[in-house]
Amino acid sequence: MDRSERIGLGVSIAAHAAVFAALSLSLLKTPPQEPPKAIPIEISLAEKVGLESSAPVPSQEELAAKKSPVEAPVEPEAAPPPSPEPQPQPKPQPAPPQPQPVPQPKPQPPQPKPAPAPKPQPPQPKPAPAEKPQPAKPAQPAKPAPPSKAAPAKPSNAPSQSAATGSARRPVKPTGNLAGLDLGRSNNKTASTALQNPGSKASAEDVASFRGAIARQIQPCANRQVTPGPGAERIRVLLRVNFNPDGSLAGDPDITGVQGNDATNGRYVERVKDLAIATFKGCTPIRGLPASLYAVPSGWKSLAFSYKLPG
Amino acid sequence: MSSVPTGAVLSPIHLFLEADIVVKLVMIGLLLASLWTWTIIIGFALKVSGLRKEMQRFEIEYREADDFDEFHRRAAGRDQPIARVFAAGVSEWRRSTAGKTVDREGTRERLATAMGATVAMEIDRLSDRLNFLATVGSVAPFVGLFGTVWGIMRSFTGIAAAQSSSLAVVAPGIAEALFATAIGLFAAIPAVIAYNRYSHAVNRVEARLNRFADGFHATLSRRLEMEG
Repeated sequence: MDRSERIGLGVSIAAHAAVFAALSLSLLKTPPQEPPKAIPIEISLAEKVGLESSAPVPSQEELAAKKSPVEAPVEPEAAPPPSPEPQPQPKPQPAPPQPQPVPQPKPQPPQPKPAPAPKPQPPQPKPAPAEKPQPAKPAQPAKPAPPSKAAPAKPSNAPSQSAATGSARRPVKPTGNLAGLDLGRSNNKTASTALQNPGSKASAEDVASFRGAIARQIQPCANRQVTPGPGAERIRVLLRVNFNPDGSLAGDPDITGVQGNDATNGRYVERVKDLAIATFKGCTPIRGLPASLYAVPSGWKSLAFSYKLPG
Repeated sequence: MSSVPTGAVLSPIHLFLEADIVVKLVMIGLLLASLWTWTIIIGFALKVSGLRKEMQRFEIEYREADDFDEFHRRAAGRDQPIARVFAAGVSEWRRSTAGKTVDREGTRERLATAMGATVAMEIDRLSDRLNFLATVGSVAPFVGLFGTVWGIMRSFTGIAAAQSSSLAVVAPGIAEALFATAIGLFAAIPAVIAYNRYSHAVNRVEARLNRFADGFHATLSRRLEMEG
């Protein structure tokens, strides 16, 4: 080791010490990363949006569409018999007042015919019960228009005559016609005039509304619960809660699942389950829930909740 | 491992103290290798630059000198490669021409051989340290990698023992282990660069010495013919 190498050794030791000191002091210091703060977002649209469409319209129309091809062969059978009979005129007349030409010709054939006579007759002389007043009455005004025609002209007489004669003529067809008529009529009504009771199922807005009401009334009890230990606030307990119509609990809530438990907070799971049940038991009965949405599908008779400790 | 605070300073001392004994040994060895590498690099740079100046000055003086005997008295004692080559030529010349009869061809061959051997010896002495640079440059990354692999194996064992795959358990051990590779690369990269540069420098010095030796051999050969 000569002079130049001694110089080199000294310089290299000094340089290494300098690098070492620089690394120790500042260069490798990783800046403490602050965890990104969760910014609370106001979710005001939540009540307007549902995960599931509750509109019953498409399903009923589907049902009608399914039925119609099945029932279709029945109606043509019923239709031809009236057409050969002298009733081409009543057809155009009823057509303009009512958009359904098909069902009307049908009520007519039964009346002139003997078939329906025994059944419809008793109601007609009587004060027109609610069952078949509508098909019967439009048929009657339609018939007075062509009074020249024989049988259908007089409603009171004709049925009686037809009843006497018709029962003798065709015993089999009338029943088949009636069955087909009833089905066809109901199908047509649902298909064309849409629906009468849309509230048969709780809509997404309704669900969000009464769930929000329940959550608001449960919240005070949820805020009272004390975290049993670190990490327990990550546990999420899934419960199914059954309500009575008055808003009280029907039995204890059922635990259906637990999420977020791991090795660090596993020992708190049972405690958090108890807290979840206690929260619901403490703040029921719930007031102000719509009674009409109790027992309907997706109503509040039985609801699934997810419980989590505050914090 | 839990002593590492959040936002920890990644201090080399801390990494070293936390590491396994094997990794510590690897780190110490690589640190010493790095020290010695830089010692060689700096020392060689100083030596070669001084050598170039000496050779420049010696060649000028040699060209200006009238008689190499008189020049030999001035320059032979110098501790310089080029002076030793010159001295080897002069001493061989004196030995060959001391007798009564002079074998010119034999004297020429002996002169060439003597000066060539001196040049080779000087080059060997000069490049003595370079093989260490080559060794460090090729081996240090592997040594560092060995330390890293060992440290990572150790930290995985730690995971198995703690039965928790949390990153907080794994990360410090892996950082310590990777520090070994970092030191290995820190030592190896300068060593490789310096080895390539200095090999080239040694080649140039050797070529220059050989040129001087050839020129001096030509001078002696001419004088041999005149005296004969």
